[in-house]
Amino acid sequence: MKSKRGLYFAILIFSVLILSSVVSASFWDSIQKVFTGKASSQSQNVSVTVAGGNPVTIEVPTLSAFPIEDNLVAIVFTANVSDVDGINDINDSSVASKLTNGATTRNGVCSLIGSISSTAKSYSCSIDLWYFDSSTPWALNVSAKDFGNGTLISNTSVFTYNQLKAMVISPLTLTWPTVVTGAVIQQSNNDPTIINNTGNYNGVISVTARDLIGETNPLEILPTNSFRAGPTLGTECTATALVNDTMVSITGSNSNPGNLSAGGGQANLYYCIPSVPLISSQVYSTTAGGSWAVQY
Amino acid sequence: MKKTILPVLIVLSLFSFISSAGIASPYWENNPLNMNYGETKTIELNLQNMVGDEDITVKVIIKQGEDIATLDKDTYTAAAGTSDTLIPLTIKIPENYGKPSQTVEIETKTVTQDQGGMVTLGTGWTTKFDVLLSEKSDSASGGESGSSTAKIIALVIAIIVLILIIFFVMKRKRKA
Repeated sequence: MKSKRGLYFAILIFSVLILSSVVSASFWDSIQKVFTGKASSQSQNVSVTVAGGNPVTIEVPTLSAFPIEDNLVAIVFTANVSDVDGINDINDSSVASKLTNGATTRNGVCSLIGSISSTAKSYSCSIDLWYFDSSTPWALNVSAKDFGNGTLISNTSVFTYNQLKAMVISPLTLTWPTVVTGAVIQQSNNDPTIINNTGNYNGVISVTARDLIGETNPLEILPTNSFRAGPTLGTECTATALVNDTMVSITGSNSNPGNLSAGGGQANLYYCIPSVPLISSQVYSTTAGGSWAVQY
Repeated sequence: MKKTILPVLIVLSLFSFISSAGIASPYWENNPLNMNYGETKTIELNLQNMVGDEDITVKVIIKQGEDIATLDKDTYTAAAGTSDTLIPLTIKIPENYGKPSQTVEIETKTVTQDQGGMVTLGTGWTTKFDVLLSEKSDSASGGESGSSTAKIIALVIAIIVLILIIFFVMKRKRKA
């Protein structure tokens, strides 16, 4: 009888040990994930303990967004603020948000949505980003304080603002005055191509050119390598040589992202035929061979 | 005099003087896509036409990474004033794909009507990013859920053992 009781006791101890080994802080999260397929929350909390009161803690989501060509984008998200002293201790008017990437800071506004528990409130925040704001990593920051403690607490998550390559170019044609074979330094008479950057791409401008085909005798061409293109007036005849059906980066060019309304965000390209090759007299154009492309 | 000038003005008004559009991408040269061998993902490029007042049509070509990247079609049209035309790009990495990374380059060019000048200009964009490849991690391959399942099985066994103990104890008490 005593030995059986001992056996039962041993089995009981064994079971308790198994239970204690499987039950952990994340155990119920794991069960939730198995049955619902949803991952548990990944928000990060931060808190600073100050004598005399409990500070707030803040949950900030990890977000990404697409810029919109030549427009403002409102980044809208929900942030949760908690205070173990109760929701009445949270100072609603102190909740603020901002996006920073080192060079630029965009401030947002936050407004109360409502209470989500006896110790937490939910806030809707909105921060405006411009089309020209950089696609480098941003820090999304939310700050808040309570009445009792008064310490301003902030928490940060990573925000990704995607890259937008967009442009408006004009005019859509390039022309030259009538040229003769052997002539040198023949500049376009309707350049520059004005390139307005309506996105946030920051980098070199490229041109894909194609041989110009004779409109009377299509067997003759004005080859692409007769052309040069550059960003500066007066130096285009010694600028980057174009290559047939190949995207060529124009040396010295930059897309110059910026506020077009404030005079930024613009670049120019100038074109030249340094030496007209020996070809027959006729009109040469892109009509048969296909257009050129200004590219990012 | 007026009869001579008018036809010229009418012809000019038929032409567009600007070309505008853009492509947004969630991945670019400094922001690679991380994937596992054997994994398939579809990413969406975002074709925008917010500035111009005409619909635009673009032709999309995969210039690099054709062995892992595919497009549903090669021509897309975005209505004027829209920013929600999506270009789905499917990236499929075979289990036995030997390389640790692969660059994917997508070239998008406007389909440009001839403007009648010597050289007609269009616009284009190149979306280029690296796909960084790795073996499936425990969390990605279900290791975490496998661990959870083991924990649940252990819990169920422990509960059954406890029930059996209680059952036998109660049975013995009744006999006594």
